[in-house]
Amino acid sequence: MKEKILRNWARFAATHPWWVITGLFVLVVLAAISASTLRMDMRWSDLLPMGDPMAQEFDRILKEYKSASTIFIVVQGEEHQMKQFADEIVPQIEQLTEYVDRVDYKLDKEFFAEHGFMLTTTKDLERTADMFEDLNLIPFLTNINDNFEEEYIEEEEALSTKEKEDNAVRSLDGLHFWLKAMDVSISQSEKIDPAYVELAVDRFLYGDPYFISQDKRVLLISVKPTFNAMDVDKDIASTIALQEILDKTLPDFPGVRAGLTGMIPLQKDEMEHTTSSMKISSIVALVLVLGLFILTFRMWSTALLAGLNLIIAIIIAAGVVGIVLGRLNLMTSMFAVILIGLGIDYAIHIISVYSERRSIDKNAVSAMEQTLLRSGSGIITGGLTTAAAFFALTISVTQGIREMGIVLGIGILCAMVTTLAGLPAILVARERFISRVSRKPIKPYHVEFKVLENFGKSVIRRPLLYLVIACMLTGFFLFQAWHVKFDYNMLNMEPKGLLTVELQDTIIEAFDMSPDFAMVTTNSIEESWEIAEKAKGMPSFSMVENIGDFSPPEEKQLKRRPHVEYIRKLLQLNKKQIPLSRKNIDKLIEQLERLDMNIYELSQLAFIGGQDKVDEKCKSIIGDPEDENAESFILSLALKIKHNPERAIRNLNLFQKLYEPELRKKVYNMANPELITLDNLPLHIKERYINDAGDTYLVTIYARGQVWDFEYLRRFTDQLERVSPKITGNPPMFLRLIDYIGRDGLRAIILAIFIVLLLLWIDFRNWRMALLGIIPLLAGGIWMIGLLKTFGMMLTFVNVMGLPMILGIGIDDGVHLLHRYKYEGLNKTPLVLKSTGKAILLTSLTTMAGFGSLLLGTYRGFASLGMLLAIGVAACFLTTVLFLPAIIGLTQGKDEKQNAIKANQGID
Amino acid sequence: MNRLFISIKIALSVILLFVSGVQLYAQDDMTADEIIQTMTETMNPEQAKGKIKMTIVTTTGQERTFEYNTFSKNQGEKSLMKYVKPKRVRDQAILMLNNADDIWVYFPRTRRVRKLATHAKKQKLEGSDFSYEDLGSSDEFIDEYDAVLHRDEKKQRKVCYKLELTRKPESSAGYSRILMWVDKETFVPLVIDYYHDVDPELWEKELVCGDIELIDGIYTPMKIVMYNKLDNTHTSMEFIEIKYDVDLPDNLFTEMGMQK
Repeated sequence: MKEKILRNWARFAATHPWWVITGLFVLVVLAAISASTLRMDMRWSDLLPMGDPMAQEFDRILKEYKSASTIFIVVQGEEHQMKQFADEIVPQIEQLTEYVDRVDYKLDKEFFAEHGFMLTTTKDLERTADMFEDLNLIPFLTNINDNFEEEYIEEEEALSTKEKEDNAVRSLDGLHFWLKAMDVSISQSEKIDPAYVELAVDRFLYGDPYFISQDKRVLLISVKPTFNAMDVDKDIASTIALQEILDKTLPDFPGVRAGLTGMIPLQKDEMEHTTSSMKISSIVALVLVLGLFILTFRMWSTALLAGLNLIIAIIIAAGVVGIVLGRLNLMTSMFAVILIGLGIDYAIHIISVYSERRSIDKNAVSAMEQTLLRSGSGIITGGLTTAAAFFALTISVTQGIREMGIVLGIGILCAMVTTLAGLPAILVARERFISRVSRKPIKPYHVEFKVLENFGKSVIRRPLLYLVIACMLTGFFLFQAWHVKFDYNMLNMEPKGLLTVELQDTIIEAFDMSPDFAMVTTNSIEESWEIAEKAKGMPSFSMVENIGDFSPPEEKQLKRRPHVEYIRKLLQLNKKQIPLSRKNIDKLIEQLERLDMNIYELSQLAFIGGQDKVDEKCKSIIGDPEDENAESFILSLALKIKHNPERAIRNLNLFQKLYEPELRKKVYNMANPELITLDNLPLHIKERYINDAGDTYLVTIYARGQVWDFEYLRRFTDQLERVSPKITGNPPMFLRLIDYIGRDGLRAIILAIFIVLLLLWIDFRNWRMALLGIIPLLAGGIWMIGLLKTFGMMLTFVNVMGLPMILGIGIDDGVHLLHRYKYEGLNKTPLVLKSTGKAILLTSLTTMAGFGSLLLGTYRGFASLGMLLAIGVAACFLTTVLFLPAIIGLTQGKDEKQNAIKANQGID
Repeated sequence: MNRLFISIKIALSVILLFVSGVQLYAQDDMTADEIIQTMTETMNPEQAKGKIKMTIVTTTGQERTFEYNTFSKNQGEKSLMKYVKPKRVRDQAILMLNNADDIWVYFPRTRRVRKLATHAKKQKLEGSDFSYEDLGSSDEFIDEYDAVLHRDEKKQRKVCYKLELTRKPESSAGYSRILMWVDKETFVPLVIDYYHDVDPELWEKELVCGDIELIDGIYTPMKIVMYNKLDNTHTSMEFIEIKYDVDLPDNLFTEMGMQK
């Protein structure tokens, strides 16, 4: 039946080529119209299954809070310049109202200045209240020392979490600044600037207002967009707009470097690199494939016609996809490159046999008839099995994979049908056209691969030897495959040297915090508080933001209120300024020396405790204990006082006159006992944490490490789920996507093997032949992974997709060979290898060229996929030509074998 | 900062936990409580003296190695730890009395001895993966947990009792559940798995004891490693020296003793 159809079609196409071409042209026009309606959905959330609760929660948060994504501007340089640079660019960024909802780069000082103590824990209030008992220099320093010893030495709990360690560093930093102001005051001959004193008081009470790293080398600006990271168009536009501001401003600040990072700029970078990688790969693939064609068949026009046939197939496939799905996603956008590698195969089979037949058959019609009879069945079965393997992906729950299965399945079917239907007509039309133009008959150029024929002869003589070699190699590669490693770092998929990625590491290093975060919504402030408290105890979390940071639960505030009121009371009791004099200056020196000892001891404890940030900060104040020549800032200050006590007394009294009232006023304001409720919470804070309806509250949890390292991501997500089952955000969603893909891939592989086997049985009506077809495929899969390991490479999140794909691709070689055996007879190994072997070698080479071209792109994920598939295609070719002839040779009886050897001698 | 005191307790506990005056022979009909009891009893030698190498991971991910001498007396009621390496902390000492209820630290540069509070039992040693109670010093396992004996399992090629300890409802111990594999021959716990304070299914840490040697007639794991399963870090402790046959003077465990 199949043969009859093929014969009739070959005859029709060869006798009426222009009818077929005209029909094809009409089809292409219609397909192009349909393809033009294709939508490009490049959001990776589109890859997740529809109705996934995590994705739905994410979408809801995006809609209600608009703050699910953040762009980070990482500024590096000298402290003063960085701050100036930030002050310069932030107003410009805020003007980008289309993209920017809010810019954060400084502490909310106003709110803290009004309510600071109500935001402090009861335990801390108990410790610190007495510090403000007397604000004159000596008692104040004495109280600082008492407090210092109590907090960091007597109460070890104080440094038990990252947050507390950060608080310790912030306090030390404020104290350091205040001591510097003292030093400036002593050193200056004129009166110290009151503004500087006010700044010192601010730093002492509130810390550094900028989001700046402890070593003062990195400053962070957080930009909350008006859109979410999934909107790739806006990702690109906003990143460009922000980059323009940076580029415009940076020349005015020569020592400053600044760049963008976070999910949004990363998406933009990925898009740019994937697009350029795809462009380069497509062009290179086409050139390589056509080059191979020309080299093999020595026919320029044929190569071009095969390329034309491929373009037609791609347009028709795009048209059908337009009707069926209406869109392409991030994964299916590369379908054209895959089709270039795979679709050309069918043309190769036809052209290969046709060129052979033209040197045998007297006319084009009978040559085409013989061509389709010999290669048509293989093409159909090969096409169907490949398409079936791709269609097996449609059982996936992830939309991305399902659509990839549909698109590639359609693509393969279109390539197969177009080639079978159109290429015979195109080839005959070409021949007729050339004959008419040159008025000479075409002399077909027929290239023979003698090496394959000789190999075939050798196999039929010693099939067992070849089978043993094949099995041994398979055993070796199985061993290798068993030990193949998986690269869990997703950043290794990104282009090398990507600034966005480097800056992520900079943030993690400088702030002990990843720019990526997760979110959860709650129904009350109390619930937010509870979740945040639970989250703060998890080791993989860095910063946790919640409404409770600004409006703690009422119960907490009521406990704090008496302590806050006590601070106000203390301030009212003791208002008298006591000047420094010759009598008490020694006490001041004594307290400075005590402070030095306290900070040294804290530094030693931090060193043993591995709290590097605290240790570093201490070292910046008292010098490095490991450096014998290091100077302590505090002891130097004490020394200055000792050397010139008169001047020190005079200047420090002026300093005291300035700072004491300022400090008193500010501490008094911070000690506001009014309860903080949603009613008196500033709008800009409420907007961050409360939705428009005012019924849910957002908690944001930042990762401590690099979430694109899969192992870390797994731990981070696991801990998130412990905090709340409702958690969502880019990191947990990405992990979910990976899990889905893993599950889908496995199911698809099993289903694909089953379908391929079934199709082979339907085709051959013989289980033995069907099993024979699948052996080289399975062995090829093993070789592929084994070779990957042997070449020192790893499986990755991207190239793992190649595993189900190779099932569809790798089966073709065996199918074509078996069909040719079926047509020629099982004793015709040299002939089969000479003819079909040549064709499958060429198809393998062209497919490898197609996939190999992915290596040229900068996006390392695609390069890893291209490499794996190129290896896989080569492996499947080798296992096919090794296993099939050897097994078939073994099944032949002794007499049959002798006959075969004799018969095949005739081929020479 | 807890690490300071807990380091001492760990050093002490390591000595206490893994030693036994006599070699014990397990009986097949022992109950879970009896096994825990026997294991705990073996944790209390009268005196010990040793040198320990401990490697921690700092909060910025750096590895840092310390060496210190440890001394303990009265079945661990008193203990002293004196740093040897690195140079920066040489001669710094930590004294713990009354089972670490009272802790003092001596800083040679300032020549000050500071008394420190404890409250550290449940807390993680910053930078390390140990906490005070990880080693189950004193009667922690008996008082705070209910034990169930499971079928024997092999660990490190040795047949072990497998015990599951569940925190008693009234207990404030830091782990909701503990799995423990105790060598049937030596009563040394070869592996201890600790589960999260709040979530009994969340595997938090794993303690693995290795290189077990017979020293002064006492089985001693010369190396113990604590793996933190939540943040993928580990802390290792190795005995460089350990002696149980010693006679330590009482004045070693005083402020003066710290400064010697």
